[in-house]
Amino acid sequence: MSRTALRSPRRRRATAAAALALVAPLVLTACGEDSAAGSDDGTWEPERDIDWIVPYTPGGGFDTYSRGIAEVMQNGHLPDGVNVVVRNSPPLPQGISSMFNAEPDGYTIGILPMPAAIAQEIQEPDLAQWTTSEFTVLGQVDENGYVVYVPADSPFETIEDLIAAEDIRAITVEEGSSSALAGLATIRALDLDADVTYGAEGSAEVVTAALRGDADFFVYGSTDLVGFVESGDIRPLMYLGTEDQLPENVDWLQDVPTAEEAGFPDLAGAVTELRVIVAPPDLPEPVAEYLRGALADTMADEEFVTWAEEAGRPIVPRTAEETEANIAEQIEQMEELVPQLADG
Amino acid sequence: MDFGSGLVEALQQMTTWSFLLWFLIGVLNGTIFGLLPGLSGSVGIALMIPFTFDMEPMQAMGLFVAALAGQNFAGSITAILINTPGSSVNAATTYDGYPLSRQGRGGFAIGVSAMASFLGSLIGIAIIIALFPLTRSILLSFSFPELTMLGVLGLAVIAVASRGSMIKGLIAGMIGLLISFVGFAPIGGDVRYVFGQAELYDGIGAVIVLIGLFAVTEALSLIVHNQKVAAGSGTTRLGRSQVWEGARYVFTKPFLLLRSSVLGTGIGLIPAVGGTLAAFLAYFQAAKTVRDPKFGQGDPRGVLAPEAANDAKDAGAALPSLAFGIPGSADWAIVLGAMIMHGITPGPNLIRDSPDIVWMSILVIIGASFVSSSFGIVFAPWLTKVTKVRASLLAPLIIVLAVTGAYGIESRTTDVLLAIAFGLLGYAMRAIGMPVIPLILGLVLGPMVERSYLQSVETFGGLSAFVTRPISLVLVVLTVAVIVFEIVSNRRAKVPEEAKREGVRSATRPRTLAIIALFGVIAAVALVLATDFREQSRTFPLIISTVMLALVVLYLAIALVPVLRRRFGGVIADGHGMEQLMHVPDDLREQLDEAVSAADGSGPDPAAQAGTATKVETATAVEPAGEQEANADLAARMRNSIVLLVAFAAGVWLVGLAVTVPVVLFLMMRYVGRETWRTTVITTVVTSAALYFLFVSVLRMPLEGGTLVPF
Repeated sequence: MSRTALRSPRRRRATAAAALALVAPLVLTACGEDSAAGSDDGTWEPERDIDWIVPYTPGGGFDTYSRGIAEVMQNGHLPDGVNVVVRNSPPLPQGISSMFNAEPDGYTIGILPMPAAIAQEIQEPDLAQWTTSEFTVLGQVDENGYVVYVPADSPFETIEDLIAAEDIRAITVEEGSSSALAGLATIRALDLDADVTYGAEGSAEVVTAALRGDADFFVYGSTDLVGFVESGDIRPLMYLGTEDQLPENVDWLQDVPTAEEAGFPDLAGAVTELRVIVAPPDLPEPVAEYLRGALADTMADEEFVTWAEEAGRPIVPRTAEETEANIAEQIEQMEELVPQLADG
Repeated sequence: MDFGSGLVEALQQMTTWSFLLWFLIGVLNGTIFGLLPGLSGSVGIALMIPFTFDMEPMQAMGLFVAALAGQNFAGSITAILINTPGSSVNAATTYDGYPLSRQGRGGFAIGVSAMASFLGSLIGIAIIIALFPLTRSILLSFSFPELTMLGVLGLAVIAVASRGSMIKGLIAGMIGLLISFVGFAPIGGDVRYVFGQAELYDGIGAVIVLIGLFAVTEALSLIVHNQKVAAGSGTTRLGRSQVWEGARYVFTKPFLLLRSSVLGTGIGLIPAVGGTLAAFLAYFQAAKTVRDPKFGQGDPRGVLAPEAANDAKDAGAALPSLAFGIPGSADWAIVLGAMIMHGITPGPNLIRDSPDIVWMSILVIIGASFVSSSFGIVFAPWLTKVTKVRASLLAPLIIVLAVTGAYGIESRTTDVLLAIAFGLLGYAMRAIGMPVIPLILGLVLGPMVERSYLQSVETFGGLSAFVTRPISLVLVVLTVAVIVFEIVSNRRAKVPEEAKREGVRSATRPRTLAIIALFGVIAAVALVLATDFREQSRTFPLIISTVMLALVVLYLAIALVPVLRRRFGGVIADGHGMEQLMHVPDDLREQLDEAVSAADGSGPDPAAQAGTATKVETATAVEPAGEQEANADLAARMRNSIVLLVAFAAGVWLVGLAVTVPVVLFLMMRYVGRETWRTTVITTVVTSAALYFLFVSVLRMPLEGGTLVPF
């Protein structure tokens, strides 16, 4: 073992030869400097890699968006040699806490799931070691309205069928997640006679459970299951977002009745998943300004737009200001909704 | 593009120099990361992701899949040579692979593993191609009850796994389950057993536990006894002929190979059921079905079965991953993430939209496992030399590598402390003859069983689903059969009265009882804490800690109450075959006892001393005259190395890894291993530099300071 291990750097060198050339200067600079303050003229530029925290495991929606942005951002919207390093830090409370409690120096940012962050804060105050409203908001990459889906062979053709049905079952991911909240809000608003099974790990597991017949319906994001809708495995019954949240590049969604059309205006937009990019509270203004700019440029970059198209990931970019307003609104909504759900 | 022409397309794209180059780099990456304890193959894959952004999707996927397929076999090399599985899928391989190494047959075992791995993935691929049309129905027939029962079957294997010391094995399994409860409850929302430590929220990773229980424990044991791994096989040649003999051996057992591969593929097809279960089930079907088994004592079939199964399992896992976008394993999860990065969406449309990618993955799995097995066969004679390295050099290096590996996973000091703690736990368990493998099984299967059990109850409204669904019912019957078979065959086994009395004596030593009682206290604390959890989070911790407590009480009652001991002594007796199962060389525990009593200042009892002297063959204790001295020496080594390990943990916590590693390495080599100044200094400098280069320069891990010296 000793020999293999001693030798491994040498062999690994083959793999990392190209990488090393790129990395070596970084390591050297990283060792020496640790300044967050920036230069004298009030502007700031990163001098080493930026950590990007994703509070979920690799492979899901938040992870995919993060990696897409990170790639384009470091390839043209940051100083040469500065990379964005995506770090997956599940479970949710830990990931969010580490975003909130990091040094506000611009070298730790992350993607924040809303309204899960605020819902957790209200439901689990012991665990949620953050205050959602205090994050430094950098922008938003996507706004994901929820959809009520049924498996393709389901007897339920419309949302009315679902409402009329008795003793039905839903499946969802962990309690307190945005999807689970959307599901509960739906059951409540439509007064469904439904029970929920929690604990699925990710979208694929939710879909498989429904396809197996373990659940009659489920509520999930409109942008997460494009493949399964297009392949005809599942059918959308109702869109829970508002009209202006409809992503334009998702064709099948245009024909799905919205909650407003179905006669549930209260439900429309009640729970919408926002994918927000944040930094720790009290980020110095020059740093925030720089990162907001870099993020906005990245999301407007042709390369990113093409990537999103190819990856089947609709994007709804918003500026920091708009995002802050959205977040404030969601906090208000959730402070009302979450206690209600807990009672019901 | 239809599915057939996808094959042609894939072949065309694959037969380019650049593809082959990336393919080779992928295999190398998988092999190296598979070899290093702690750095698992998935870490290697994740590290490559940023370098592939500008590559063609096809080539990038080739790189990833090659890395994924190349790692399983590599993990078996360390399992065989130093009793440290590269990852938990190779844990079953240690049962027989390591005893083979100790007999100087490490090369042979690597040959078996290499050939079994390659043929396993070949058979697995053949099966999934044949099953392609049925994928969907197979995937959809495994619901929550089936998943639960698969896990329970795996746990039942614990009973089998701990032949000869069933109660101890079960207690170890329960400890594993308790460890699996740490962190977020899968359902119910509670955070359990974290004691306010945010680092524990996500649970304790199996890799950390493996590093501690296997690498650290094994190294401790090697250095305390100052033995080479292949002790007493000085005359055996470690040449190439041995490796080829191993490779040829696989062909003499075609049916075992086929059975194990089919089992592995089947388990791979079911998402979320890992390769660890595949390997263990294969091992035990082998142990129960072959003629004339010598399992646990270096039976090559015990290497063949799990290695064929875990490679076949990777082939099987390709199907749900590619066809449904449901990762069949943790490694596939990362590969799927990488695919999405490259604009390829795994899932129902992949086979329709890009059959070439699917074919390419299939071909790369076969190719990569061929190349990595070839590496194994070519380098095995050279790798096995590790087993001839003196313990005083090898052991400190293993400890340092394992511990830095633990840090490498997520750059967290907590992981280092945990790895060391598990090393000490493993050492204690080993000293009292408690097998560690059930602990691994409990840890790996715990979350799956708990989650799917709660989901079953929630979805089907009770326990009836377990017996009304056909597949689940079959699994229930199988589980009961495994347990009954084991109890009956244990009762029937004719144990000589002498051996039984010896077994009871060794099972009732004061130290054994003290450690068992300590586990009882842990179970009791876990039970009390569990009462505070919410309903769903509470179910499993309550059941498991109660069962564990009951087992401990049973054990202690039989050991301490004379009437019970006479009547039921056989239940707790350390049985035949157990030592081999734990890879404890003959009479090692005896020596430990002697060592400790010597350390206490009281002389060892003469009868035992005579017994030891006749049987023991170690580098130190041979002549009865020098025995006292040798025992004192052993005790000193043990004391020093344990003190150093504790100091290691304290040092990492106080001043950080960067300072502590060279210091501990130096002290351990000089004062436990008693190497010369020159060797010690050179090895320390070279190793520290190499580690710094690997972790800081290449992998860019941030070095954390300690609480005293932050930087």
